[in-house]
Amino acid sequence: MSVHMQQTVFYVSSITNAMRGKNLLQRAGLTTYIGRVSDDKNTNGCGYMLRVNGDPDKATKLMEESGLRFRFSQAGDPG
Amino acid sequence: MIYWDNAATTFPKPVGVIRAVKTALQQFGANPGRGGYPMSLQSAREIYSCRETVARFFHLSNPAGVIFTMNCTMALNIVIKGLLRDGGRAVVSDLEHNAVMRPLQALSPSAPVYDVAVVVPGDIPATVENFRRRIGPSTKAIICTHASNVCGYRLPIREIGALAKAYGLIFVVDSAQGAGVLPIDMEADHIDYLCLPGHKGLYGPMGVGLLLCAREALLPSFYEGGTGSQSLLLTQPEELPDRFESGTPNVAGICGLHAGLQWVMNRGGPEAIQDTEMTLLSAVYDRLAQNPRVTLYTPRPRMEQSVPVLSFNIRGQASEATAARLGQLGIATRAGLHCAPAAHRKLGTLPEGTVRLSPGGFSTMQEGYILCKIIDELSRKPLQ
Repeated sequence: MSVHMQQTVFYVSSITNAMRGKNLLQRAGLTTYIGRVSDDKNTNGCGYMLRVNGDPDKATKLMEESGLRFRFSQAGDPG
Repeated sequence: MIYWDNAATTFPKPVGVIRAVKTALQQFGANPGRGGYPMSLQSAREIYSCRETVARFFHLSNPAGVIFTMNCTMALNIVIKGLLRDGGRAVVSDLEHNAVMRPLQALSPSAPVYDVAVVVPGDIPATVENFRRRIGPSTKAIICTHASNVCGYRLPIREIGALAKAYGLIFVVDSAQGAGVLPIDMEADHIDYLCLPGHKGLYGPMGVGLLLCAREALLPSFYEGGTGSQSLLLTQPEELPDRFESGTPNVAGICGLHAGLQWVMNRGGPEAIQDTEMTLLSAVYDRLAQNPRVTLYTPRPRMEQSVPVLSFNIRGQASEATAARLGQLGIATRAGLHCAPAAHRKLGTLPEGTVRLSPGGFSTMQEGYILCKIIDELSRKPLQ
Protein backbone atom coordinates (compact mmCIF):
# COMPACT_ATOMS: atom_id res chain seq x y z
CA MET A 1 0.00 0.00 0.00
CA SER A 2 1.38 3.38 -0.95
CA VAL A 3 2.33 5.50 2.00
CA HIS A 4 0.60 8.39 0.30
CA MET A 5 -2.71 6.55 0.37
CA GLN A 6 -2.60 5.87 4.10
CA GLN A 7 -4.62 7.88 6.48
CA THR A 8 -3.89 8.73 10.08
CA VAL A 9 -6.41 10.12 12.55
CA PHE A 10 -5.35 12.22 15.48
CA TYR A 11 -7.82 13.15 18.20
CA VAL A 12 -7.28 16.53 19.80
CA SER A 13 -9.30 18.11 22.55
CA SER A 14 -9.86 21.62 21.24
CA ILE A 15 -10.47 23.47 18.00
CA THR A 16 -7.36 25.55 18.64
CA ASN A 17 -5.22 22.44 18.78
CA ALA A 18 -6.95 21.14 15.69
CA MET A 19 -6.12 24.35 13.80
CA ARG A 20 -2.56 24.30 15.07
CA GLY A 21 -2.12 20.68 14.08
CA LYS A 22 -3.63 21.22 10.66
CA ASN A 23 -1.32 24.16 9.93
CA LEU A 24 1.69 22.18 11.04
CA LEU A 25 0.85 19.14 8.93
CA GLN A 26 -0.21 21.06 5.84
CA ARG A 27 3.02 23.09 5.90
CA ALA A 28 4.82 19.75 5.75
CA GLY A 29 2.83 18.78 2.67
CA LEU A 30 0.33 16.47 4.36
CA THR A 31 -3.29 17.06 3.36
CA THR A 32 -5.30 17.38 6.54
CA TYR A 33 -9.01 17.63 7.27
CA ILE A 34 -10.60 18.67 10.51
CA GLY A 35 -13.72 16.86 11.70
CA ARG A 36 -15.82 16.96 14.80
CA VAL A 37 -15.87 13.98 17.17
CA SER A 38 -18.15 13.02 20.03
CA ASP A 39 -16.87 10.02 21.91
CA ASP A 40 -15.90 9.20 25.42
CA LYS A 41 -12.75 7.22 24.66
CA ASN A 42 -10.58 9.71 22.83
CA THR A 43 -11.94 13.16 23.57
CA ASN A 44 -13.75 12.97 26.92
CA GLY A 45 -17.06 13.57 25.24
CA CYS A 46 -16.26 15.89 22.38
CA GLY A 47 -13.39 17.30 20.44
CA TYR A 48 -11.88 17.27 17.03
CA MET A 49 -10.02 14.88 14.81
CA LEU A 50 -7.38 15.51 12.23
CA ARG A 51 -7.61 13.15 9.31
CA VAL A 52 -4.25 13.16 7.59
CA ASN A 53 -3.45 11.72 4.17
CA GLY A 54 0.12 10.65 3.64
CA ASP A 55 3.04 9.17 5.49
CA PRO A 56 1.75 8.23 8.96
CA ASP A 57 5.23 8.13 10.49
CA LYS A 58 5.97 11.63 9.26
CA ALA A 59 2.62 12.90 10.53
CA THR A 60 3.08 11.28 13.93
CA LYS A 61 6.60 12.61 14.31
CA LEU A 62 5.48 16.13 13.50
CA MET A 63 2.62 15.97 15.97
CA GLU A 64 4.85 14.55 18.70
CA GLU A 65 7.51 17.19 18.17
CA SER A 66 4.94 19.98 18.21
CA GLY A 67 4.05 19.44 21.86
CA LEU A 68 0.36 19.19 21.00
CA ARG A 69 -1.59 16.73 23.12
CA PHE A 70 -3.38 14.13 21.05
CA ARG A 71 -4.49 10.51 20.79
CA PHE A 72 -4.18 8.82 17.46
CA SER A 73 -5.27 5.82 15.54
CA GLN A 74 -4.30 4.68 12.09
CA ALA A 75 -7.28 4.39 9.83
CA GLY A 76 -5.41 2.67 7.00
CA ASP A 77 -6.10 2.93 3.30
CA PRO A 78 -8.99 5.35 2.73
CA GLY A 79 -9.64 3.81 -0.70
CA MET B 1 -15.48 66.34 15.93
CA ILE B 2 -11.83 66.52 16.87
CA TYR B 3 -11.32 63.26 18.68
CA TRP B 4 -8.34 63.36 21.02
CA ASP B 5 -9.50 60.71 23.49
CA ASN B 6 -7.69 57.78 21.89
CA ALA B 7 -6.31 56.67 25.25
CA ALA B 8 -9.89 55.69 26.10
CA THR B 9 -10.49 54.00 22.76
CA THR B 10 -9.25 54.74 19.28
CA PHE B 11 -11.60 56.44 16.87
CA PRO B 12 -12.22 56.30 14.03
CA LYS B 13 -11.38 52.71 13.22
CA PRO B 14 -9.66 51.90 9.95
CA VAL B 15 -11.98 51.04 7.08
CA GLY B 16 -10.52 47.54 7.00
CA VAL B 17 -11.63 46.97 10.58
CA ILE B 18 -15.20 48.01 9.84
CA ARG B 19 -15.16 45.79 6.77
CA ALA B 20 -13.80 42.84 8.75
CA VAL B 21 -16.54 43.15 11.37
CA LYS B 22 -19.20 43.35 8.70
CA THR B 23 -17.73 40.34 6.87
CA ALA B 24 -17.63 38.38 10.10
CA LEU B 25 -21.29 39.08 10.81
CA GLN B 26 -22.23 38.09 7.28
CA GLN B 27 -19.92 35.15 6.62
CA PHE B 28 -18.59 33.82 9.94
CA GLY B 29 -21.87 33.76 11.78
CA ALA B 30 -21.51 30.24 13.13
CA ASN B 31 -20.20 29.54 16.60
CA PRO B 32 -16.56 28.44 16.33
CA GLY B 33 -15.37 25.34 18.14
CA ARG B 34 -18.81 23.82 18.42
CA GLY B 35 -20.02 22.47 15.09
CA GLY B 36 -18.17 20.50 12.44
CA TYR B 37 -19.81 22.07 9.38
CA PRO B 38 -17.93 24.41 7.04
CA MET B 39 -19.07 27.78 8.44
CA SER B 40 -18.27 26.75 12.01
CA LEU B 41 -14.82 25.59 10.95
CA GLN B 42 -14.32 28.80 8.97
CA SER B 43 -15.22 30.91 12.01
CA ALA B 44 -12.71 28.89 13.99
CA ARG B 45 -10.15 29.40 11.24
CA GLU B 46 -10.56 33.19 11.47
CA ILE B 47 -10.16 33.14 15.26
CA TYR B 48 -7.07 30.98 15.03
CA SER B 49 -5.59 33.18 12.33
CA CYS B 50 -5.92 36.16 14.67
CA ARG B 51 -4.20 34.20 17.44
CA GLU B 52 -1.30 33.48 15.09
CA THR B 53 -0.92 37.13 14.06
CA VAL B 54 -1.08 38.34 17.65
CA ALA B 55 1.48 35.76 18.77
CA ARG B 56 3.89 36.78 16.01
CA PHE B 57 3.42 40.49 16.69
CA PHE B 58 4.26 40.16 20.38
CA HIS B 59 6.86 37.40 19.96
CA LEU B 60 4.92 34.69 21.77
CA SER B 61 5.92 31.27 20.55
CA ASN B 62 2.59 29.45 21.02
CA PRO B 63 -0.59 30.88 19.48
CA ALA B 64 -2.61 28.87 22.00
CA GLY B 65 -1.21 31.23 24.63
CA VAL B 66 -3.25 34.05 23.09
CA ILE B 67 -6.42 34.31 25.16
CA PHE B 68 -9.31 36.52 24.03
CA THR B 69 -11.01 38.39 26.85
CA MET B 70 -13.62 41.10 27.03
CA ASN B 71 -11.01 43.79 27.65
CA CYS B 72 -7.64 44.46 29.27
CA THR B 73 -9.25 44.75 32.71
CA MET B 74 -10.57 41.21 32.48
CA ALA B 75 -7.14 39.96 31.44
CA LEU B 76 -5.58 41.66 34.46
CA ASN B 77 -8.20 40.19 36.79
CA ILE B 78 -7.49 36.69 35.48
CA VAL B 79 -3.78 37.08 36.13
CA ILE B 80 -3.80 39.01 39.40
CA LYS B 81 -6.42 36.92 41.12
CA GLY B 82 -4.98 33.70 39.74
CA LEU B 83 -1.48 34.49 40.90
CA LEU B 84 -2.18 35.85 44.36
CA ARG B 85 -5.39 34.21 45.58
CA ASP B 86 -3.44 31.68 47.63
CA GLY B 87 -1.05 34.24 49.06
CA GLY B 88 2.03 36.17 48.14
CA ARG B 89 2.64 39.82 47.33
CA ALA B 90 3.19 41.90 44.24
CA VAL B 91 5.36 44.92 43.53
CA VAL B 92 3.52 47.57 41.53
CA SER B 93 4.40 51.07 40.35
CA ASP B 94 3.00 54.35 41.67
CA LEU B 95 1.25 54.94 38.34
CA GLU B 96 -1.11 51.96 38.23
CA HIS B 97 -4.62 52.09 36.82
CA ASN B 98 -7.51 50.78 38.91
CA ALA B 99 -7.57 47.74 36.62
CA VAL B 100 -4.51 46.63 38.60
CA MET B 101 -5.24 48.22 41.96
CA ARG B 102 -8.86 47.16 42.42
CA PRO B 103 -8.25 43.43 41.91
CA LEU B 104 -5.36 43.70 44.36
CA GLN B 105 -7.60 45.48 46.83
CA ALA B 106 -10.34 42.88 46.38
CA LEU B 107 -7.88 40.09 47.24
CA SER B 108 -7.22 41.59 50.63
CA PRO B 109 -9.40 44.56 51.59
CA SER B 110 -7.95 44.97 55.08
CA ALA B 111 -4.24 44.58 54.43
CA PRO B 112 -2.56 45.40 51.10
CA VAL B 113 -0.87 42.56 49.26
CA TYR B 114 1.26 44.91 47.24
CA ASP B 115 4.31 47.14 47.64
CA VAL B 116 4.66 50.32 45.60
CA ALA B 117 7.78 51.24 43.64
CA VAL B 118 8.29 54.88 42.69
CA VAL B 119 8.83 55.53 39.00
CA VAL B 120 11.48 58.17 38.31
CA PRO B 121 10.60 59.55 34.88
CA GLY B 122 13.55 59.51 32.52
CA ASP B 123 15.80 57.65 34.99
CA ILE B 124 15.77 53.94 34.23
CA PRO B 125 18.39 52.83 36.80
CA ALA B 126 16.63 54.72 39.60
CA THR B 127 13.24 53.28 38.63
CA VAL B 128 14.57 49.73 38.48
CA GLU B 129 16.36 50.18 41.81
CA ASN B 130 13.09 51.34 43.36
CA PHE B 131 11.41 48.18 42.14
CA ARG B 132 14.25 46.07 43.46
CA ARG B 133 14.01 47.65 46.90
CA ARG B 134 10.36 46.72 47.19
CA ILE B 135 10.99 43.00 46.57
CA GLY B 136 10.64 40.98 49.74
CA PRO B 137 10.51 37.35 50.85
CA SER B 138 6.77 37.09 50.05
CA THR B 139 6.95 38.80 46.68
CA LYS B 140 5.60 36.57 43.94
CA ALA B 141 5.24 38.95 41.06
CA ILE B 142 6.00 42.35 39.60
CA ILE B 143 2.87 43.83 38.06
CA CYS B 144 3.20 47.16 36.32
CA THR B 145 1.79 49.42 33.70
CA HIS B 146 3.69 49.86 30.46
CA ALA B 147 2.81 53.56 30.38
CA SER B 148 0.60 55.89 32.37
CA ASN B 149 -2.82 56.71 30.94
CA VAL B 150 -2.69 60.07 32.78
CA CYS B 151 0.71 61.54 32.10
CA GLY B 152 2.18 59.23 29.46
CA TYR B 153 5.26 58.24 31.47
CA ARG B 154 6.71 55.08 30.05
CA LEU B 155 8.16 52.38 32.30
CA PRO B 156 11.36 50.53 31.39
CA ILE B 157 9.68 47.14 31.12
CA ARG B 158 12.66 45.36 29.60
CA GLU B 159 14.84 46.30 32.55
CA ILE B 160 12.06 45.55 35.05
CA GLY B 161 11.49 42.21 33.32
CA ALA B 162 15.17 41.40 33.69
CA LEU B 163 14.91 42.24 37.37
CA ALA B 164 11.89 39.97 37.79
CA LYS B 165 13.73 37.14 36.06
CA ALA B 166 16.82 37.63 38.23
CA TYR B 167 14.69 37.28 41.35
CA GLY B 168 12.57 34.41 40.03
CA LEU B 169 9.42 36.53 40.01
CA ILE B 170 6.52 36.45 37.59
CA PHE B 171 6.31 39.56 35.43
CA VAL B 172 2.92 40.93 34.43
CA VAL B 173 2.56 43.98 32.18
CA ASP B 174 -0.55 46.09 31.78
CA SER B 175 -0.01 47.40 28.27
CA ALA B 176 -3.30 49.25 27.88
CA GLN B 177 -1.45 52.34 26.64
CA GLY B 178 1.60 50.65 25.16
CA ALA B 179 0.31 48.05 22.75
CA GLY B 180 0.43 49.38 19.23
CA VAL B 181 2.63 52.38 20.02
CA LEU B 182 5.53 50.76 21.87
CA PRO B 183 7.47 47.70 20.67
CA ILE B 184 6.85 44.64 22.83
CA ASP B 185 8.82 41.41 22.65
CA MET B 186 7.53 39.07 25.32
CA GLU B 187 10.65 36.95 25.17
CA ALA B 188 13.25 39.71 25.22
CA ASP B 189 11.23 41.68 27.79
CA HIS B 190 10.86 38.58 30.02
CA ILE B 191 7.10 39.07 30.19
CA ASP B 192 5.15 36.13 31.58
CA TYR B 193 1.69 37.64 31.16
CA LEU B 194 0.85 40.53 28.87
CA CYS B 195 -2.57 42.16 29.25
CA LEU B 196 -3.89 44.50 26.62
CA PRO B 197 -7.03 45.91 25.05
CA GLY B 198 -7.94 45.20 21.48
CA HIS B 199 -9.67 48.55 21.04
CA LYS B 200 -6.97 51.12 21.74
CA GLY B 201 -3.59 50.99 19.99
CA LEU B 202 -4.52 47.85 18.06
CA TYR B 203 -7.53 49.61 16.50
CA GLY B 204 -10.02 46.78 17.00
CA PRO B 205 -13.59 47.30 18.18
CA MET B 206 -14.51 47.67 21.84
CA GLY B 207 -15.38 44.38 23.52
CA VAL B 208 -12.14 42.51 22.86
CA GLY B 209 -9.05 42.25 25.00
CA LEU B 210 -6.05 39.96 25.12
CA LEU B 211 -4.17 37.99 27.71
CA LEU B 212 -0.93 36.59 26.35
CA CYS B 213 0.48 33.73 28.40
CA ALA B 214 4.12 32.81 28.04
CA ARG B 215 3.73 30.48 31.01
CA GLU B 216 1.18 27.74 30.53
CA ALA B 217 1.03 25.92 33.81
CA LEU B 218 0.46 28.59 36.39
CA LEU B 219 -2.96 30.24 36.49
CA PRO B 220 -6.22 28.59 37.55
CA SER B 221 -9.32 29.11 35.44
CA PHE B 222 -11.18 32.33 36.10
CA TYR B 223 -14.64 31.41 34.89
CA GLU B 224 -15.91 28.03 33.83
CA GLY B 225 -18.38 26.85 31.24
CA GLY B 226 -18.76 25.30 27.83
CA THR B 227 -15.69 25.12 25.65
CA GLY B 228 -16.89 22.79 22.90
CA SER B 229 -14.36 20.27 24.14
CA GLN B 230 -14.14 17.40 26.64
CA SER B 231 -17.76 17.94 27.59
CA LEU B 232 -17.97 14.79 29.73
CA LEU B 233 -15.59 16.39 32.20
CA LEU B 234 -17.14 18.70 34.75
CA THR B 235 -13.77 20.34 35.33
CA GLN B 236 -12.58 23.12 33.05
CA PRO B 237 -10.07 21.86 30.46
CA GLU B 238 -6.50 22.68 31.41
CA GLU B 239 -5.16 23.33 27.94
CA LEU B 240 -4.80 26.83 26.64
CA PRO B 241 -6.75 28.71 25.48
CA ASP B 242 -9.79 26.71 26.66
CA ARG B 243 -8.84 27.09 30.31
CA PHE B 244 -9.64 30.81 30.08
CA GLU B 245 -12.19 30.93 27.27
CA SER B 246 -15.67 29.65 28.10
CA GLY B 247 -18.83 30.39 26.19
CA THR B 248 -19.20 32.00 22.82
CA PRO B 249 -16.36 34.30 21.72
CA ASN B 250 -16.81 37.74 20.20
CA VAL B 251 -16.11 36.52 16.66
CA ALA B 252 -16.86 39.81 14.93
CA GLY B 253 -14.74 41.70 17.45
CA ILE B 254 -11.84 39.32 17.07
CA CYS B 255 -11.98 39.59 13.28
CA GLY B 256 -12.00 43.37 13.68
CA LEU B 257 -9.02 43.18 16.02
CA HIS B 258 -7.16 41.10 13.46
CA ALA B 259 -7.77 43.74 10.81
CA GLY B 260 -6.72 46.49 13.23
CA LEU B 261 -3.46 44.74 14.00
CA GLN B 262 -2.79 44.34 10.31
CA TRP B 263 -3.45 48.06 9.85
CA VAL B 264 -0.88 48.86 12.57
CA MET B 265 1.68 46.67 10.83
CA ASN B 266 0.92 48.23 7.45
CA ARG B 267 1.46 51.69 8.94
CA GLY B 268 5.03 50.73 9.79
CA GLY B 269 4.41 49.25 13.22
CA PRO B 270 4.36 50.76 16.70
CA GLU B 271 7.51 52.84 16.28
CA ALA B 272 6.19 54.65 13.21
CA ILE B 273 2.83 55.30 14.86
CA GLN B 274 4.40 56.56 18.07
CA ASP B 275 6.70 58.84 16.10
CA THR B 276 3.76 60.46 14.30
CA GLU B 277 1.61 60.84 17.40
CA MET B 278 4.45 62.16 19.55
CA THR B 279 5.21 64.79 16.89
CA LEU B 280 1.60 65.96 17.14
CA LEU B 281 1.59 65.94 20.91
CA SER B 282 4.91 67.75 21.21
CA ALA B 283 3.61 70.52 18.95
CA VAL B 284 0.52 70.87 21.15
CA TYR B 285 2.67 70.85 24.27
CA ASP B 286 4.89 73.61 22.91
CA ARG B 287 1.87 75.77 22.12
CA LEU B 288 0.14 75.19 25.47
CA ALA B 289 3.38 75.84 27.34
CA GLN B 290 3.31 79.40 26.05
CA ASN B 291 0.00 80.09 27.80
CA PRO B 292 0.50 81.16 31.43
CA ARG B 293 -3.13 80.24 32.19
CA VAL B 294 -2.55 76.60 31.29
CA THR B 295 -0.90 74.19 33.73
CA LEU B 296 1.11 71.31 32.32
CA TYR B 297 2.26 68.57 34.67
CA THR B 298 5.10 66.90 32.81
CA PRO B 299 8.20 67.94 30.90
CA ARG B 300 7.99 68.10 27.12
CA PRO B 301 7.14 64.57 25.99
CA ARG B 302 9.96 62.54 24.47
CA MET B 303 9.65 59.26 22.62
CA GLU B 304 12.04 57.37 24.88
CA GLN B 305 10.15 58.40 27.98
CA SER B 306 6.51 58.78 26.97
CA VAL B 307 3.52 57.59 25.08
CA PRO B 308 1.29 60.21 23.37
CA VAL B 309 -0.80 61.20 26.41
CA LEU B 310 -0.80 64.69 27.94
CA SER B 311 -2.59 66.13 30.95
CA PHE B 312 -3.33 69.81 31.54
CA ASN B 313 -5.68 72.17 33.32
CA ILE B 314 -6.81 75.73 32.72
CA ARG B 315 -6.10 77.71 35.89
CA GLY B 316 -9.20 78.39 37.91
CA GLN B 317 -11.32 75.95 35.93
CA ALA B 318 -12.25 72.45 37.05
CA SER B 319 -11.07 69.79 34.63
CA GLU B 320 -14.56 68.40 34.01
CA ALA B 321 -15.84 71.90 33.27
CA THR B 322 -13.04 72.46 30.77
CA ALA B 323 -13.70 69.13 29.11
CA ALA B 324 -17.43 69.89 28.98
CA ARG B 325 -16.77 73.21 27.23
CA LEU B 326 -14.38 71.52 24.82
CA GLY B 327 -16.99 68.87 24.15
CA GLN B 328 -19.58 71.49 23.30
CA LEU B 329 -17.12 72.89 20.78
CA GLY B 330 -16.63 69.50 19.17
CA ILE B 331 -13.43 68.44 20.89
CA ALA B 332 -13.37 65.04 22.57
CA THR B 333 -11.14 64.73 25.62
CA ARG B 334 -11.43 63.00 28.96
CA ALA B 335 -11.26 64.75 32.32
CA GLY B 336 -11.14 63.76 35.96
CA LEU B 337 -9.14 60.96 37.48
CA HIS B 338 -9.04 58.60 34.48
CA CYS B 339 -9.57 55.57 36.75
CA ALA B 340 -6.00 56.11 37.93
CA PRO B 341 -5.96 58.00 41.25
CA ALA B 342 -2.43 56.70 41.90
CA ALA B 343 -1.09 58.63 38.93
CA HIS B 344 -2.92 61.78 39.97
CA ARG B 345 -1.53 61.39 43.48
CA LYS B 346 1.94 61.33 41.96
CA LEU B 347 1.23 64.37 39.79
CA GLY B 348 -0.38 66.27 42.66
CA THR B 349 -3.68 66.64 40.81
CA LEU B 350 -6.02 65.02 43.30
CA PRO B 351 -8.92 65.39 43.80
CA GLU B 352 -9.92 67.42 40.73
CA GLY B 353 -7.89 65.59 38.15
CA THR B 354 -6.86 66.86 34.75
CA VAL B 355 -7.98 67.17 31.15
CA ARG B 356 -6.27 64.54 29.05
CA LEU B 357 -5.28 64.84 25.40
CA SER B 358 -4.41 61.68 23.48
CA PRO B 359 -4.06 61.83 19.68
CA GLY B 360 -4.38 58.73 17.57
CA GLY B 361 -3.60 57.32 14.19
CA PHE B 362 -6.03 59.62 12.39
CA SER B 363 -5.24 62.81 14.31
CA THR B 364 -3.70 65.69 12.40
CA MET B 365 -1.52 68.72 13.04
CA GLN B 366 -4.42 70.90 11.91
CA GLU B 367 -6.56 69.41 14.67
CA GLY B 368 -3.82 70.11 17.17
CA TYR B 369 -3.64 73.72 16.04
CA ILE B 370 -7.43 74.19 16.37
CA LEU B 371 -7.41 72.47 19.76
CA CYS B 372 -4.73 74.80 21.10
CA LYS B 373 -6.50 77.87 19.74
CA ILE B 374 -9.72 76.87 21.49
CA ILE B 375 -7.94 76.11 24.76
CA ASP B 376 -6.33 79.55 24.55
CA GLU B 377 -9.76 81.14 24.07
CA LEU B 378 -11.32 79.18 26.92
CA SER B 379 -8.47 80.16 29.21
CA ARG B 380 -9.38 83.82 28.64
CA LYS B 381 -13.05 83.25 29.47
CA PRO B 382 -13.55 82.36 33.12
CA LEU B 383 -16.54 80.24 34.00
CA GLN B 384 -19.57 82.13 35.35
